[in-house]
Amino acid sequence: MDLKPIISLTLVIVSLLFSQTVLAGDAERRQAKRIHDRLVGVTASNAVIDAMEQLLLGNSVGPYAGDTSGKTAAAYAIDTAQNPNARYFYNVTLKNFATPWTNEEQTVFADLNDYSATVVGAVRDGLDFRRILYDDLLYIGSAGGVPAYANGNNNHYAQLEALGPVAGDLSNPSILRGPNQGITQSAITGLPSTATAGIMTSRAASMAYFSDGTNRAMFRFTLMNHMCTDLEPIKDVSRIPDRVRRDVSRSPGGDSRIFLNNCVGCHAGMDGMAGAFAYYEWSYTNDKTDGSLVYTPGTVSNKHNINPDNFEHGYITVDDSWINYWRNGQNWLLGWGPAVNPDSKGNERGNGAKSLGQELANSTAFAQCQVDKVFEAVCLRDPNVQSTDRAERDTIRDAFRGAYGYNLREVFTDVAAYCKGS
Amino acid sequence: MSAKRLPQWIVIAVLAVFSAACDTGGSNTVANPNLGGDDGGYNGPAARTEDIRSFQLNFWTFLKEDNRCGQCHGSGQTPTFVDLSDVNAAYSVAIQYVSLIDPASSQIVAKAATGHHCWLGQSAGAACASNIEQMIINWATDSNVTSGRQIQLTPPTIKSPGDAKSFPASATDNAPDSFANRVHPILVANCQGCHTETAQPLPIAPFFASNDVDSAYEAAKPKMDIDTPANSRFVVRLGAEFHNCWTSDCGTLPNPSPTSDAGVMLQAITDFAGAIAPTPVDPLLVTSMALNLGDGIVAAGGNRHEANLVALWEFRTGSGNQAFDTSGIDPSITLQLNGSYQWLGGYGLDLANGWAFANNFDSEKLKTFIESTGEYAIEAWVVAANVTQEDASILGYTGGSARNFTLEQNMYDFRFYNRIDDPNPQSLNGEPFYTTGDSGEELVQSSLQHVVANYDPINGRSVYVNGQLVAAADPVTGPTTIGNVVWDDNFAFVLGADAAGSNDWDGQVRLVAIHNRVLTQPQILQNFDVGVGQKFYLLFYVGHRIGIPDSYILFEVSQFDSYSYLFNEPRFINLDPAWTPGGFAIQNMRIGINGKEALAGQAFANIDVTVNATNYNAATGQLLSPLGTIIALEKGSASDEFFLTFELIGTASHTFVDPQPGAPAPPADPPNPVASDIGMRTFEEINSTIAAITGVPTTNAAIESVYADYVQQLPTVEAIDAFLPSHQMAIAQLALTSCSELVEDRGNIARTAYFPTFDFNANAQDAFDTAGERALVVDPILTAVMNVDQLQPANNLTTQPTEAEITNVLGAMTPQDLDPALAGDSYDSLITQLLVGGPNDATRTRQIVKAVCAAATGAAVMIVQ
Repeated sequence: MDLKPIISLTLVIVSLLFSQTVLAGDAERRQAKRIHDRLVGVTASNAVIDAMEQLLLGNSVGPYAGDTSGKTAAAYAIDTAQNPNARYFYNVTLKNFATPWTNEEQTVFADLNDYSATVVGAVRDGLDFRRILYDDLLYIGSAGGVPAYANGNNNHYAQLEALGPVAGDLSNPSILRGPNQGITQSAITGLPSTATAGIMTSRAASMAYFSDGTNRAMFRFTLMNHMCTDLEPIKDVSRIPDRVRRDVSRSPGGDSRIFLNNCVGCHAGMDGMAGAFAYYEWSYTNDKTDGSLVYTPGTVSNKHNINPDNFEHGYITVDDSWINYWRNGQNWLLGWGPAVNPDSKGNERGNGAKSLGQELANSTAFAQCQVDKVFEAVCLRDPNVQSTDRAERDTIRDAFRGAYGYNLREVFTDVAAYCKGS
Repeated sequence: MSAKRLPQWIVIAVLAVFSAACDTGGSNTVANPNLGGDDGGYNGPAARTEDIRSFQLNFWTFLKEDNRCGQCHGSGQTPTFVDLSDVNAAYSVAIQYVSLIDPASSQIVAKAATGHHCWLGQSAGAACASNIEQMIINWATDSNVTSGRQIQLTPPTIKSPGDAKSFPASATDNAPDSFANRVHPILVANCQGCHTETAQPLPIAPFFASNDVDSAYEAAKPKMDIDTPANSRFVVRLGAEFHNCWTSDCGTLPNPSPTSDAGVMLQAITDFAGAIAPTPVDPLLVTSMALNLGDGIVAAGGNRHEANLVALWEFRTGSGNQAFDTSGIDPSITLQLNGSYQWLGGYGLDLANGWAFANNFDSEKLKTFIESTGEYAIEAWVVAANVTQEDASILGYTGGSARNFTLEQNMYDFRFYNRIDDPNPQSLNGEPFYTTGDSGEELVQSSLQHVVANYDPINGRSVYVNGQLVAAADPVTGPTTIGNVVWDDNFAFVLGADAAGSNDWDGQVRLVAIHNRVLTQPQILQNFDVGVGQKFYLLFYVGHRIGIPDSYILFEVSQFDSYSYLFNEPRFINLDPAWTPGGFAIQNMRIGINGKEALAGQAFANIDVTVNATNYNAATGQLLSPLGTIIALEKGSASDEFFLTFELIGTASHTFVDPQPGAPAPPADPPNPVASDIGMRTFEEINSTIAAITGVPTTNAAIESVYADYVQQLPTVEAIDAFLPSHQMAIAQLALTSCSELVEDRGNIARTAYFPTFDFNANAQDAFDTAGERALVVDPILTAVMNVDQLQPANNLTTQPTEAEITNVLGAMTPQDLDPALAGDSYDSLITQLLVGGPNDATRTRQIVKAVCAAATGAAVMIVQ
């Protein structure tokens, strides 16, 4: 007898029952379950639900003091010392939170890599999250049978992930090792420390955004992933276009209105900043997944001066200097941090990816973007729609920049508490 | 007929096209030049010098004809620069009216430009002038006269930037004196016969009489002079050129009667222009003096290599339906424009769904000249409209779908067809074609590109793009020949399509030249470096700002395309060659147009240069920026007025204030919640949750295999409204596999630990014959899936169904009622159903446990978070 039809029918009936029945009951227990579900991603044991319920009722549990807001209960849920399933917060929730940022297709079905592992580690260790854009930062695995980190492939991380959430537990500092264990990106990859820029110079990001093209992809995708905006919404045609390169046609299809009304709106700002990547290139022969990052200090990669005849009077990239013209005009609203090396107009200037990473990471947009992403992951909705959500987001953002010292774990617990339901 | 001749139907089709061309007013044909070396019947004294011989071959021979200058200036009427009886005497006269150093500045060229007895028609003076200019260039080239022309910078008339009018943003602005109210109705009423997209039989661009007032407005702007309405092209066309007046009274400029056609049009434009308020120049700005493009000094185009030119189209006419061959080599191959085309500002033709063709008699010049050498080069400046068009014929010497040669765009590739003498019938059609795609590069871009296609018998075909040889081989190897009989003289030269009007190419063509020798790489680079279009040097006076007379900012300016100007490489220069700078700063320079600073394109707004003796050169000045930028065209090259502004020049300063808009107001809250309060677990969360429920790890081989197969069928987003049946099927597979692994004791938790005291070895009927036995299976599953607290039921979550409800669905001993409000919805529990009919053994027992486990694990309580 084939079981599948009967099981499927029963499964549907059970599903109907679950989805239709809403009874009054113990609010804190429901809130505990939701907080756990949203953060950890898997069901909680009764013991953990009990403990979180007590915390939500204001009662202390072990080292955790009671807190009716839910923040402490959330912290408890992702504490591997308290909750055996907390490892899934790191191995599933955080990993999949970061994975789409690591590839151009924005797919979640990508292997663990040095970019996503570094994000997981940075959250786990409560690092200043800005460091992911500029620091000599990298997390690597340490587990039996996993090959060493290699500049030329991702086997190290793919096999670490294949070990599963126990043998390859990313929540375990002895398995996923980072700065607290003395690991630096420069020591592992051989890239000069001054050339490191957190995840921007990770192998995964380099392969995705430095391969082929013009390296503008690194700027655009960093903008999308960590400033939560694509170029189109921040287009400003009034910026100074003196850094727009020669490969940008000023008359696409013979119509310069397109350039003056559209193209220059992005390129004036983007080309000004993307010059920071002038010395980076993803080198490969046939399959780019087998390539590696090449850094050539003092030598601009050919791609920066490609197609010079499209507009021979355009900017010639001669070094890795950058300038942020978006500190003026409409994009001052991105909330740039204090300028370190501004020109007379307040446009910040620098050289290389590291200083550009700092420029981006110190903006309000960066902080707000991190909170927005967490909000969407935990509350399952956009925080920019309802005024109450916006206000809460702003509060958490300000705390993230202030009291939390850019610790993203705090944002996760804040947001989970806010969305714990009633 | 030769076996290599084309089928007759093709010839007929081609002739039909040519016939149509003649009907639409193509120029008359003339006899082909005599290449036999007998000087076309000239019996006078031989040329005494090489230069005179060059004059004779390149200039005198073409202009001495009766239908050109010879009728008057061959004898009798002075100056007799084409003296028919003595080429030496003609030379001594002609040399007074030409400049071999700067052919464009020749008096004879200027005279022709006025339309003075132009053989191409009175309104084609520019084309005749270009023709004569090219003849002089050819003469100079043969005589080895190289242009040593230095640009002579002469001070322009000093004028302050004036308040200027700009076209309103919309056709309906300033109503009732809007374009839509005043001018458009006249155009629609009287010009729609031709100047609209749907005109029959032949739409003629620009389409300023379109019913779409916005597109009509854009097309009409260049035809209206809002500073001096009487100078509007619309008015001049009626009042001076009497072009298709709609009444019997065209009116006569400069004072047409108010009821005449020109008078009505003038009044309409005057009303429209009168409502436009001039834009005042901000008195706080530190400005230069102002210039129009016409105030600039014409920059010589440089020396193009044209020693073996056969045909040349520069598309300078700017209007009409003909494009003239200005090579100076007879017969001129005049192109008839057809379909949807548009003349470009700054020279050129936009062939969006349009094409241009010559008649086959004129086109035969190409065959004659090219066969005389056996080699040729096609040179073109083009802008592809897109990189998606395939088999699109940019230009060709074709008939129907056959060809002597064709240059084609196929997406990112240029293709070059060349008909050769070969037994292979394919070769007659230029195939196999050469393609730049064989280089592995995507070369066609939707931007201005210089393309040269070379053919010679030894090296075959090659293509150069922007001066660079494309690394692609000619598929035809070995010596070839185009012979003397291979090319078909019934074919015609066509731009933008083949002769049948198919294989349409969309794009802009700025220049086309045919040479009957290949161009060498240095020659190609030479022509590439010269560029295309007319350039001007604009001298913006700044002496009044720095207190140093004769001081200017020098820009090279050209009309970049129909919508913008190119401002290139600004430099400071003082026209007094004895002057040396003492040192002063120039900072943050912007370009002003029509009374205001341009919004976009201010590439010099960040310069910071000190003009000093170290960097200043008396002849070339001091470069302020190596960059060029484009500034939007507003009223047209004849009307737009430019000036420069500075934040600092010398001691004069004005700080530019960059507007910083405030934050936008937050949006109002939507009336209803726009997102669900609950969502789904996603793919890996589901996998991990099932693992946590069953104790079967995700690294279990069976789970890994199923997960790998179904991972992309699981939910990737949390949105509850994105749930699909396919998600449920994938979840069911995972749940079934996990439960099977659990019951078969391949998980981390032994089945006897998971289901304590349940007898897995009993046959099915015995294992489930009591409610208590069934509870041994159901209860542990419910605890793991939905946190059922067996000891304290009050702890059960109230957002879920009750324990009893689920237990009954899975394992009730008696029939259950799904909904008391409904009749006939009674059902048996899962275990009861599975006990019916199946084998009564221990295997069946385990199957039933797996089923109960999977039904609970794969349900909504697991999926929803």
